[in-house]
Amino acid sequence: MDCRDARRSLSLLADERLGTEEIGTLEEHLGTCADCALFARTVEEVQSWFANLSCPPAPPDLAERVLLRLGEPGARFLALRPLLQRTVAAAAILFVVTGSAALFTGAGATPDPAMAGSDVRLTADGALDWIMAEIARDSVRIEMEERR
Amino acid sequence: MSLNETELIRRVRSGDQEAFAELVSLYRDRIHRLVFGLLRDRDEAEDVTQEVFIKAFYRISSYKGQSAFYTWLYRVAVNAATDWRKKWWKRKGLSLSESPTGPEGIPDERARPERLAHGRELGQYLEESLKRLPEKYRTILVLREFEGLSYQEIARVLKLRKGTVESRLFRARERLKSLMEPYM
Repeated sequence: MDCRDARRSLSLLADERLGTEEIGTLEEHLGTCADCALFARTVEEVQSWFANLSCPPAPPDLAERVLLRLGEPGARFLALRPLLQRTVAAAAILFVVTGSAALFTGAGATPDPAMAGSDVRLTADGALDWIMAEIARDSVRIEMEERR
Repeated sequence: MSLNETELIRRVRSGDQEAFAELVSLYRDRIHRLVFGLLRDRDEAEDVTQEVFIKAFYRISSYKGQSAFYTWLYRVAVNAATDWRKKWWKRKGLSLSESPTGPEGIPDERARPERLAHGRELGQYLEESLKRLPEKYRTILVLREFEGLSYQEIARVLKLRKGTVESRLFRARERLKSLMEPYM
């Protein structure tokens, strides 16, 4: 077992997903590797510190309070505001990127305004396609990880 | 996911507030505990927990049912707590990698052990150190050590690869340990 495997095994051990035989191999490695032994102690230490942390109880009338706030005007907007802000920011970035790309490719200097417009549109479409492909790839990756 | 919960979610999607109140009652303690773990402030935790559920109500259509509902709800809570902290830091004119008692990694003179009252509990030292950790490290430590989520669950909540969870937890523990050292 090398250090990389040992640290992975320690993660599995923390999740209680390590078999007896693997625990034996891990202990053997920890007995000979000072770095990994220190890492294992750190994991244990941090766990013991967190056991000291307390948490006050949740307010018992939380559900009532939430329902009251749902009835307030503007609650929906406040809830969705961060999403809207991110969308506007993404649109602004897209605008700047496509604008820069159009300038870089010389579309802005094209004497025919109709042609320049089409170039900009093509660049914007390309960027949008790229973003959509990235989102699709990301979704597939997350889905595969979840299935695993 | 239980049949009851699936049914509740279906009803909430159609705007049923009573069903939502039941869902809030089911997850109230877990979400409040998580938010308190992230913010370490009782009043702020109450406010943000309310916000989490309000956001969840309006955004429930984005829950596709591909993972456990609590994973999705945890994600909403982590994002809400992070947004809250960002706003707080912005008001103070600081960034998320700084703390009111000094930048992370450089122990503040005021927080050194000799300056702290004798008899302070380990938990209080941990509170001090947690506040000084960068957001991403505090979040992952709270999910793992305070909430007891598995590496796989953390990966789902934070939308990270499992390998990234492992390495980030490793760095987070190291940073926390170095911050706790002056207190030990």
